[in-house]
This record gives sequence, C-alpha cells and structure tokens, in this order.
Amino acid sequence: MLFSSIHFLFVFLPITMLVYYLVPYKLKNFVMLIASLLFYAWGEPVYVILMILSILFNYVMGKDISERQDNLDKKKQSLIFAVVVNLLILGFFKYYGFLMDTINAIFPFKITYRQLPLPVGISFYTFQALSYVVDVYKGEVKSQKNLLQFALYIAMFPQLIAGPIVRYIDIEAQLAKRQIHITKIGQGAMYFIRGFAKKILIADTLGSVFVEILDMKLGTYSILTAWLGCISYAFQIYFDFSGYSDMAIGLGKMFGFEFKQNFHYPYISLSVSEFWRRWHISLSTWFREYVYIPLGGNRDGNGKTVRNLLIVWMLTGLWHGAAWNFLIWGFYYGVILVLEKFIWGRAMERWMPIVRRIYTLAVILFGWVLFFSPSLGYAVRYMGSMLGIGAEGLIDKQTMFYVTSNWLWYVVAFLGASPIGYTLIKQVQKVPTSRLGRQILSVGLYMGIFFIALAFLVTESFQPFLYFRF
Amino acid sequence: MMKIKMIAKQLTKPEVLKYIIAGIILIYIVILLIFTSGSTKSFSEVRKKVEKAISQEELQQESGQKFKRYYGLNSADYEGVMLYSAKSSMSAEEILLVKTKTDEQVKEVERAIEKRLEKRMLDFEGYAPEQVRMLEQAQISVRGKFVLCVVSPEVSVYVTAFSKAL
Amino acid sequence: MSIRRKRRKLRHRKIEDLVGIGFVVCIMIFAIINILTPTQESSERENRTLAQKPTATWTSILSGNYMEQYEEYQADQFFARDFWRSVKLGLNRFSGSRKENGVYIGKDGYLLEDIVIPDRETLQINLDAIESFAKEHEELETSMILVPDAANVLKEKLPAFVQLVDQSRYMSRVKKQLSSSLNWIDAEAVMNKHKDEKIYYKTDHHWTTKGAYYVFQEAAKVLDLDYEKDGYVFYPVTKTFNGTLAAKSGYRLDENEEIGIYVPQIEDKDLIVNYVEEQRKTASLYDSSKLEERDKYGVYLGGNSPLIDIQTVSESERRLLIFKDSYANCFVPFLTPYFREIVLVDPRYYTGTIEDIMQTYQFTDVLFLYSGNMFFQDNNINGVINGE
Repeated sequence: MLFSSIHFLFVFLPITMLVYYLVPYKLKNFVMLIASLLFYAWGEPVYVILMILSILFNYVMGKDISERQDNLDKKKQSLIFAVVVNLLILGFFKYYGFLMDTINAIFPFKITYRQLPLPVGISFYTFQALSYVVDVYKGEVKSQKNLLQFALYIAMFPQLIAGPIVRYIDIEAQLAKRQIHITKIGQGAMYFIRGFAKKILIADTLGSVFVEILDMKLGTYSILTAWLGCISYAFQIYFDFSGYSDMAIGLGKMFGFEFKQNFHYPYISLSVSEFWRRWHISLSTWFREYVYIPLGGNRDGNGKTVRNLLIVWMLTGLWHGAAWNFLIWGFYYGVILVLEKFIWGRAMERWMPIVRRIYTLAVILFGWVLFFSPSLGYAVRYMGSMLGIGAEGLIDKQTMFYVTSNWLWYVVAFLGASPIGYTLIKQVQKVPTSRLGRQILSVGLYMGIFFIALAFLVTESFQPFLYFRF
Repeated sequence: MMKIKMIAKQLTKPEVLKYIIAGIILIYIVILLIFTSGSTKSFSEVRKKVEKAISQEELQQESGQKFKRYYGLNSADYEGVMLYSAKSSMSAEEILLVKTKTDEQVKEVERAIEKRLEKRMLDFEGYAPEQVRMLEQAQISVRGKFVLCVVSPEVSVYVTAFSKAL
Repeated sequence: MSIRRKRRKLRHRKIEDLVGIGFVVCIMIFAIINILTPTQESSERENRTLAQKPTATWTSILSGNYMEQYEEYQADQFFARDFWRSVKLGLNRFSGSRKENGVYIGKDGYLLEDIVIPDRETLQINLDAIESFAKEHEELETSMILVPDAANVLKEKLPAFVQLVDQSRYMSRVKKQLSSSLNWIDAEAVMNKHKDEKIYYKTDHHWTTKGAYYVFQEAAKVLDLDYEKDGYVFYPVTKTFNGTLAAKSGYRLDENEEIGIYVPQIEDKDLIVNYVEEQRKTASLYDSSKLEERDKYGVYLGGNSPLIDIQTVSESERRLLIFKDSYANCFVPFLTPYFREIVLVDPRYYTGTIEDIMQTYQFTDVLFLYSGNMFFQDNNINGVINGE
C-alpha cells in the first residue's frame, strides 16, 4: 500500500487512527502492530510470514546474545550466526538472480533457475534488525524482552517499506512510552502534507518529463534536453524519496513516534562528502556505524581507509539494486570521496562557493545518469550527449517545450530543494498581523496544498515510489 | 508430563530456539520455491512438459485467434500462449498456459481468466451442474511470468506437471 | 462547553494543533463521503468505464490481484472526480502545460494525438503478413489506404516548440515494401493538399467525412470506380459532437462540432447491414441512436464491430473485403454504390481467421484501410491473416 494512494489515505489511515486514538494506552502498541501487519500483508500477502519469522528470529537472537554477555567467544559466534542468517535471506531474495545471470554470462552453458519476487521493504527491515543485534552485541542497548515492542520496531508501518532506517537505539524508549497529543499530530500532519505534495506534485510531474526524454532515441535530441532529462530525474528522485521520508516521519509523529531527519537539502551541498551527509542520512549512518567503523574506519592508515571507503560505497551501490550499474555508481562515489578526502579536499576550501556548487552538482548529476540508465553502454552514451558528443546541437524545440510547459514545477522544485521554499512558507504564514489571520492562513495553506495534491492523485494513475525497488 | 515440560523449556531457550526458527525460515523459503516461484525457463520448455499431461483425445489445441475470442487478449502481446479446449461442446474443460513479457501483464492475464471463468459458468449454469462444479474448482496458478489455468476433472495432475516443469 | 468558550479555546490553539485537527477531520469526513457516494459505472466526461468493486477469491488475494483491483476501485470511485480533475487541469493550464494525458492542446481549438512510433518487429510482421496475403491472392485486386494522423498533417496547429516524429517516414516504409504487391492509394498527398479545410475533427482523433470524401475521390481513380463528382449531397446529422480527445485531455469539453454525411444524389438505394457477431441486421449504414450518446462518431456503422457484412443492390459484380480500423467507418458509405457486397473486418476484435471469411464469400477486391497511429501499433493483423 502506498502512502500516496486513495486507499491508504481514506480507508486504512482513518480507521487505524480512530482505533489507535480511542483504545487505552496499554493497547496502543498492539493496535499499531496489527495495523502494521495488515498494512504489509495488503501489499505482500505471502511475504508477511517471512517478515514475522524474521522478527521472531532477531528477537531470539537479541536474547541469545545478551545471555552470553560473559563469554566473548560464544557471544561473537551468536552475532555471526545472526548476521549471516539475515544477510543470507536478504542476499537470496535480492541478489540470487543477479548472481545467476552473471554466472550465465561468464560461462558458456546456461542454467535456468527459479525466481521469487523481491519482498517489499526487505532491505530496510533487515538493516534495522541488523542494527539491533549488533547494538545488543556491543552492549549499547539491552535486548528487548517484550516481543510486542520488538515486533513493532521492525514492522511499524510508517517506516516499514522505504525507511528511514531507524536504529533501535534511537527508538527504544519510545517503544515503551511515548506521548501522543494534538500538537504532535498537527506537526505530523504538516510533515505528511509536505511530503505528499513533494511526491504527487513535483516528483510525479517532473518524473513524467524524465520518462518522455528517456523514451526518445538517444542522439536525436540536444545537449540541453539531455541535461534537462538528468535534472528532471534528480528532482524526481529527491522529491520522491524525501517526500516519502517526510510522510513517514509525519505518520510516525501522528502515532507518537519521533524519527530522525532523513534528508537535509542535499542539493545545496558544497562538496560530495557533504552531499552524502545530507542525502538518505539514515542509510549513510547505518553503513558508517555497521560497516565502515567495524572495518577499521580511518584509523589504520591511508591505505586501509581507501579500501574501507571503496568497500562501503560499493556495498551502498549494491544495496540500491542487484545490477552492475548500481555497483559502478557506488564505486564512482567511493572514488570521488577518496579523492575529496586525500587529493583536493583541502584545496576545495579555497574555491569560490559557486565553483564548489557547480562541481558538486555535476558529480551528482553524472552519478544519476549511472543510476537511471538501463545499461552501462546507455549511461556512457547519455553522458556523451550531455557533453555534446552525439547530440543534436545545444538546444532544440524539445527543450523549450518541456521547460515552457512545466516551468511552474521546475520553479517549485528549485525552491523546494533548497531552504528557500520552506522559509517562504514560513514567511507567508507570518504575513497577517492578527493571530486569527495567521491561524486561518496557515491552516488554509496546508489544507490547500493537500487538496491540490489530492486533485492530482485522484486524476493521475498510480505511480509507485522509486525506492520501493530497493 | 514433567518430561514434556522440560523438553518445552529446553526448546524455548534462545540458544536452541534460534536454530529452530532459522530452520523454519529455511523450510518456508523452500516451500515458496517449490510452490510459488517463477522460473527463467523458456516458454517452449515448460509448454512441452505441460502438454505431455494433456489427454489429446478429449482436448484439442486452439489457435491464437481462439485465445483472443475466449479471453479477449492478443497472443502476439505475450511471450507464448498455449490453449487447449474440449473437443465436445458439452464440456468446459480447458487448459491455458501463458508466459508474459512483463510482470504487469500477469495481472491482465489473471483478470481475463477470471472473466472467462465467470462467463463459462453462466454458459453451463442450469443444465450441466457437473461442468459448473468443475469451473468452480478451476485453478489459476501464477508462477512468475507463467500463468496456468486449468478447468479439468484432474486439476492437480496439470498443476503438478506445471510446477515440476518450472 | 458553550460554543463561545469552545471558540475561544480554539483561538488559543497553536497552528500545528489546528492543522492536525483539520487533517484528521478531513480524512475522516472524506472517508465517510466516499462510503456514501454511490458507485458509478462510468465517467461520462472522461469517456471511460470506472473500476468496480472486485470480488475476493483465494487466488486473487494470495496473488495480490484483489488488493490491486480494490485500490483501483477506490481511486476510480473517489467522490467528485470531475471537480478534482478540473482543479488539476486549472493548475496545469496555469503552469503552461500543453500536453494532457498524451493529447497536445493545439492552436485554433485543435486537440492532437501524439504520433505513435511503430515497434519495428511488429510492423515487420504486419507488413509481411499483408504482402504474403496479397501475393497468395493474386486474383484479387488488393489496395491499401494509410491515412496520416492529424498531428502529421496539421503541423502548424501543434503547440509551440512541439516536434513530433515524422510519420511520413514510416508511411513511406510501408509503401516501399507493399507497393509492388498491391495498389497504393496515396492518402497522405490528398490530406496534405486539403489541410486548410476541415478534414480532421478538432476534439476527436478521426478524420471528418469531408477528409474521407477527398481520399475517396483519389481511391476511385485507383479502384476504377465510375463515380460522379457532384453525385453526393452533404448534410449534417449533429452539431453537438465532442470527441474522445476532449474527454481524454479534459480540454475543450464545451466545443461542439458537426458530423455530416454524404448521401448519393441518385435515389437512395436499399441495403442490408449485417452485424454478424452481434446477430443484428439493419437497413442503414447509420445508427442514429448513437447521436444520443457521448461518442457520436459511432453514428457510422454503429461504432466498432468485429465483422460487418453489407449487401447492396448495386449492379456491380464486385465484392470487397476491407481490413480496417475505425477510420473506415465514415469511408465505407462512399463505396456502397460500386460493390454488390462489402465485408468489414476489424482485426482488433475479429477472432476468426481469414480462411473462414474467404470460404464464406467470393471477393474480387481487398482494401486495407487504416489510420497511421492505429496501423503502427496494431499487432492483430498477422493473427487474422495467418491464424496463429
């Protein structure tokens, strides 16, 4: 079930809210869990069992690890078992087909194999479970005795299928006790509406421009059209994913939970490393905590640091999908981050901000080409047309058509991707001098945005979230 | 009684329970693989094996145009289509095997099959109750991009043959 | 609590609280309205049927098919669709959008459909099927009319900056392969010659009867029909036609167009139109009941039918088989005086094979009549001709 579907908004959510708010406090966790399981089962009627088994397994592992607090070897064995089983499940569902295809491509014979579809959200909930068992192992948290609370941690519907990847440590206390009041619900609603509008109005509209450009034959359009396609995609993926995160955070708040920010205006970054501190923060944090630092981080000399960075980034790439272009996309970022760290990082500080901005955005945009291309050859040729190789001139009618017929959404996207947009909303809210005026304006503004996005949703056919594939 | 309690206690200790749950997960995945997985096999490979189970005396192969008439779908849109129907017009027996080109097409085929079954039930309702029962017990099996629909007194034979063929 | 105190309390609320209350109340109320709104069969304005509540079966639930259909049902049956649609269109109009749901919002009130890029493989299969059919049936006089679509002829009516693929290129590919085995009737040249007249509807993707008439004059030369130039009288049958492109895009829904027919001046000849699969016979090429419906183009031959057999009282010995899409519907009336029998096959809907037809009737002529877009995306032709 998508957050941005009529069914979620006007069937699932009202019913869940009504029951959740009305039942006594003790029952709230139970209601939330049932709702979450129904939410997942609606989209994955078969795999809901896999998720429940995964919950039980990790719950038991947490207990097992904490019971071996005194025996380091045994504790470690138990952790390794937990990590291996979790990764095997994830690996089987996500990478098995990729592995077989690679083998088939290398060897002369062809092995046919059985395929199972990828369970939605498995990358996200497996990572959450891993963060839990590792933190229990490190002694940073106590194992959760209450199965209900643990199940809720893994399965909570706001963040279940596309993140943010919540660390157990950040939410442990809230699982047992949290506050639910109207102000928080209101903050949640504001988050949700902003995210909803980001997804429906900006991501979907500019996404359709991107699709049209991608459908055109390469080499038949101009340099600027190629750039426009890439920029549209950059906006689409940002507003799609950050919109989803905002909706998740908002829903969390409405049910009393506080999740950390997942995006923080990534496109205003002045360096690539800053970009990754602002983009999908929960994933970068996870890889830093559970891969980079355990590998030794940057403590064992430059050689090891480079190795660790490259490993982390290739894994990050692979996490996004079982395909070569994702692997190379990850490697590309690994290399650039290494270069930033050791070669031109220092020098960059003296560059003019505008130069740094252009450099950063160029790296990101070329990165997205790798990301969205169906094949590597395509990516290379697309980058070629962005640089003028095999493109039809600098600018053509197509470019003008897309810009003139979507200018509003490009302007909104530009404002929304930087803090200007949010500041603008805040300023508008302050315009009326009376308190009542401000109240009316603010409520009107948010509900207005909600209704407009709803109008687009009702008329448009379904467009799934990009990050559901991961 | 004590013994059972003790065994139960032993089994629910985390150090034992973890292997049990890991085992259940493994079994679950194996079951999924056997009963729900798709396959990268070609249409003709699967077709051959399913065809073997078909009794050529009572059923005859139908053309793509018949597939269009019965299901409202164009066989050119799919990777492969095999349709057998009863030679006798008094029988509702029918075997359909389709491999789609995309995942989205699977739902489209499923819906067409459901419509077809409903229509056939109306055709036979009132004068051939045993045919209606057969239609009610028809099975649609979706395995990745393969879709099989069986209307036959021997549903399980075909479904097993299909499952093994993947 | 009195209303006044309630109001005072509300006034001291934070903005967040008010948005929260607004949002929660809003989704609850909308949910209730949705339940209370009766299920609609179809949307008149959008000219399409709406998803209905699905029935649950075990298989459909396990495969997720049921849930998907249920969500479609929820989305399609959302209350006040037309209102929400107008909000969206209004905003899009403001943002300068000139393409809505695949339809270009052109100049002078024209709505134009995008040009379809043919799938190379499908096109090749279709062309091979037609070629082999023409070669196998050398005794038959085979011809083809491929009508360009409005966007390819009325290029200057397209919105600013729109550059579409060149349909003429694909047409000449078809001509190149087929012109040696059949008679090519150059509809493109005719349509281009008359492009300043109203040869296409503004709100529909079809050509007008006038456009069809010009092409007929060209076809008459090739098919050797002995027609009189002023032998037809034009008269309008409706002036309130609003076509499918308007429905699809949501633009120009209040535009009213004229549909007219050409009637031979010589006395009205009797004929029998047999809708074979519908098992319905009429004595007219026109179905005036369709003029009451939204899609008034259906007035010609009652819309789309898999197989239509028209018997005339013409003295001619010629019998014609037409493979066609809906463009042919307004063209056929011109042909009736010259053929004793005309059989229309629409491969999209026809589920028999060509052999069935060839055995039933004795033809002297065959005509393939398609619009470019339909021909380039239709993959049904081969199925009918080769029965695979």
